[in-house]
Amino acid sequence: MIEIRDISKSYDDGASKALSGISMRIDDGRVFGLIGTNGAGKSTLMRIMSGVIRPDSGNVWYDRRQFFRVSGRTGRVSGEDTALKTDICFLPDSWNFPLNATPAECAHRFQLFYQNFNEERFRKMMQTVGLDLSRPVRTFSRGMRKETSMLLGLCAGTRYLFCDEIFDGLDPVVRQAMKSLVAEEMVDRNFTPVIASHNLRELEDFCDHVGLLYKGGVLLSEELENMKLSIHKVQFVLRDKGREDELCRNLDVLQCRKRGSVMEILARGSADDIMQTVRSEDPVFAEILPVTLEEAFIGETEVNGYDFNSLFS
Amino acid sequence: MTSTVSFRKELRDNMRERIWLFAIILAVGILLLPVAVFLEIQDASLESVHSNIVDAFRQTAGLQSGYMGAAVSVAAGMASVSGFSWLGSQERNDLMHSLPVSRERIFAVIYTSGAVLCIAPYLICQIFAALVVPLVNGCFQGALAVEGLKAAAFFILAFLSVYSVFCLGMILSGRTGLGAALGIFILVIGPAVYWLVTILIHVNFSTVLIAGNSFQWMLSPVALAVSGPGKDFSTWAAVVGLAVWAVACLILDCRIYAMRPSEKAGSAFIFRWISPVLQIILMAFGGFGLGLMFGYYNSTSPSYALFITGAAVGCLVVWIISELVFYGKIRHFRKKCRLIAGAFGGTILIFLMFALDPLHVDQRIPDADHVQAMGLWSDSLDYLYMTTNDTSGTEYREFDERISDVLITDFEPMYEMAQEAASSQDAESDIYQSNHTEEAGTNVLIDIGWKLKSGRMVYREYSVSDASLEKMWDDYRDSDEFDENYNPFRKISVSDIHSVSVYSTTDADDNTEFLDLDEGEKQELVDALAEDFRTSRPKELLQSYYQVALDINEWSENTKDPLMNITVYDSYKNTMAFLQSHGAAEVLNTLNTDETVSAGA
Amino acid sequence: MAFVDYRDPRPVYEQIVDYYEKLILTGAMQPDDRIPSVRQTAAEWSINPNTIQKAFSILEERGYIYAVPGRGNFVAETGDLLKQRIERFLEDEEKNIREAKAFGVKKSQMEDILNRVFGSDEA
Repeated sequence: MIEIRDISKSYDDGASKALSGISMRIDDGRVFGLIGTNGAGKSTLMRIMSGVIRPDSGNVWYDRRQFFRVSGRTGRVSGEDTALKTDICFLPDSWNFPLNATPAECAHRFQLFYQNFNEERFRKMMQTVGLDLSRPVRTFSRGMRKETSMLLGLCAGTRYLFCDEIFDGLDPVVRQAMKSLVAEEMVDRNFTPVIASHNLRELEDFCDHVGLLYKGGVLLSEELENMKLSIHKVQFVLRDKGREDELCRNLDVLQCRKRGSVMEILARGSADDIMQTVRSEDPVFAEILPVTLEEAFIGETEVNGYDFNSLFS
Repeated sequence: MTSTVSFRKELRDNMRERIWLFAIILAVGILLLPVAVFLEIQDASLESVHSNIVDAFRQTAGLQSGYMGAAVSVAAGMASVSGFSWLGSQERNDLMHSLPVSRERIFAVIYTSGAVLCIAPYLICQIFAALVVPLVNGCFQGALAVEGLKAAAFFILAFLSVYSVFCLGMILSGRTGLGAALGIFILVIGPAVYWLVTILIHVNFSTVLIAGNSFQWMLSPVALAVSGPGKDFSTWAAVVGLAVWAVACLILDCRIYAMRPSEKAGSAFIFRWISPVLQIILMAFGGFGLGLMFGYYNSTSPSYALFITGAAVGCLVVWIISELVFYGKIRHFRKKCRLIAGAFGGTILIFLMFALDPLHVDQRIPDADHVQAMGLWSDSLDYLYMTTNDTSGTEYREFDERISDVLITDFEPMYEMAQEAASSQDAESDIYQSNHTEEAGTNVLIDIGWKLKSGRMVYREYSVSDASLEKMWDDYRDSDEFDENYNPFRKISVSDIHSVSVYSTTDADDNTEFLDLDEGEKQELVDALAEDFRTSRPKELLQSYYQVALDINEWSENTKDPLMNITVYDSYKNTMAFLQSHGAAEVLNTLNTDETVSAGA
Repeated sequence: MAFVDYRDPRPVYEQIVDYYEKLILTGAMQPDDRIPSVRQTAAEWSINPNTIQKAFSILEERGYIYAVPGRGNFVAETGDLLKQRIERFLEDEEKNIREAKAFGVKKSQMEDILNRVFGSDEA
């Protein structure tokens, strides 16, 4: 389990604040989705979690073991626990090995440091997806590089895999293949992927838990299902139009829209409760519709005063 | 996998990546070491300057090599840049710092790898140079092996020293180019500051003399490597200096790298304060540079106004250039005005300290209570007993070496002379010439040294009036210590004298007579000269006419220049008498006594 | 169904539950047939195994499958389930028919459909 407490980080000597007092919990064996726009702090958070960057304040605990060493004298982070890093593999969004290296050489490098790295498996997987192990990565397309990264990460055998926008931009077939591989890892062993993306659709299908970052803060962190279960979209037409406002007041409405004579609301609560309330107004027509993750987010964020479009533009 | 096993593997991996470094060092090393030695061996058979192979070795691959110091520094630069250039790439930082390996280990692997890649080929070449090549050519000596070993140890230490400094530059910066430049800056700044101070002293203080010392070399490991061993100062001092640099920088390297923020990859420097500090120092150099150029273009009448203008321009130009180099653009000119003004102001202030000499450094001499001994030396004084100032045959020695030969504890008269000279010192006087003033008499340029009780030496150069010189000489009339040190004839050892020849300086026929003297007679001659010299006075000598000269030869005639070429003044009564009675009568008889002009006694 | 339909309003695990329910109730899978493992299913359909696990838990809860530790999941006896399923279906159908009535569908139209689907079968 990863526990993140009060992590703050600013760049340019305080000029720009990337993270302000972030706290989160990531449970083992669940897929954690980290969502946010560019600049929301996802990459910074991932880098802190993998020990690449040191936070200004706050700390991270891996299974209750403190990750960052804090100097008693200055109160500042002085380093991280290298032993804990053996459980972590970080895959950044851009290729970070030398471009002239071949996948085989990268695998060899990983082998030096990740003792559980399975070179044989890596070879087989690369062959399966049709990537040449002895061509320099320079000749790979961006998608192919991400695939290679992903395979390296999966074969590293670490408990945690931090993927920074790895799935973004992959073609659908490859994406599905990667998801399958991740799924298998999760079944085979204690494996916890943390996937950052600015594409909601990517994560919606696959994540157990999502955390939404905005301007360095956590807007929400919830089980995906709970989110979907607790928000519903209803379309209805009331016989008595005058009752519309009354109905909206009776429900915990997050969003309200009228298309012609049809009302569409986004409301919080269980499906049954909401339908009951709507039916009590004797509608001509009432139907509960599926809520996408995007709509759920809209609901949560706009009610807190954020403009959803600015979050994801 | 144990820690050491994985270290070896990581090391091998890193070395494999940079194997080209090994190849280059080997290729260049072959040229600089075994090939150079081989060429020397070839030359030696053609009777070159070197007397033997060990000497030749010393000057190519050994401690006195003119190029090994530079070669080692270049290699160190290549090793550190190739090892740490990745620090400027955010991607590589992400990779390296996310891997489960400690910062200390990463640094150790890269540092060791660079060192091994350079030291291994060097050792191979050195072995070839010191052993194989001489053996193959039949001129191997045990001494060669010893020299080779000494040089290897020294240059390896020098390499590590310069290498550690370069690594420091790389670690402190977020960009490869800037890192290398910062490394060069650290290596050069010490000697540069020293050099600037000596220029300022030279230009502004007419009396201050600075002797060659080991301190100036200690300011940079490159200086130590390039000019240290066996030449200017003791090899052990150089070794200690290099070791201090190496250890200090290595510790700094490790500590700073361990806390280096990965996010600084790509930015100019990892600490915010480095940039202004660098800029101030660079601006100061720029200010002084242009200021001195403008203000002292005409060395006889320097203009302070021009200096100030030049300094202002220099500071501004350097600031602009540094901003462009560090940041690619000029940031916040208004905010930085204070910085530029500060650098400019500091430059002017320091300059004024030298130019106006508010502390009267030029007129200061050490307190008599602190003085243990004093000595002096002057070119002009040699004139007293030589006919020419042709010192081509003699070994050139620096003033501090000469003074240290003639330190005397009975220094009061000397001190008084110095005191008078110091207080009458005109700051504007031209130190390059002995002044011939309208008053009677001339001035002599004299280098004076004080040995303090603390052991320190202080030097000054004064334009001393001949009256002052006379007075001192007079005061020392009865001093045996002075006589022993400053009477050139007390320093001749009879065993050095092979032959003595006499000739007349006015004789167009160039008749030279060789005197046949035995041991006792030689001693007599020397004593006579000494006595004559002691009883005469500089002024008198300088104004005397002479017609006779003596050559004291080390070897038989015709082979070499004389050991000493002595002016026999008319007032040298004892010497004249001796010569008369020992076979130089012919020469003396050619003297035209009517034409003798005697001024003074 | 080769893969999950993401445009389907129902959550993924519900789709999986319904899928297996259908297979089991229609007899396409017989009692004691082995259900593909979580791993297999996750890999084949690129789904989060937790989701699949949840679906299997629900199926087990409802009595459609039973688990043998170390061996996997197997289809359970379905007798009762079928009855439950039919009941649920009929409930849903009643709802649909009421809606249709609200739109103006006539009983005769419904009867036509019944005749077409059931033919001349007896009740």
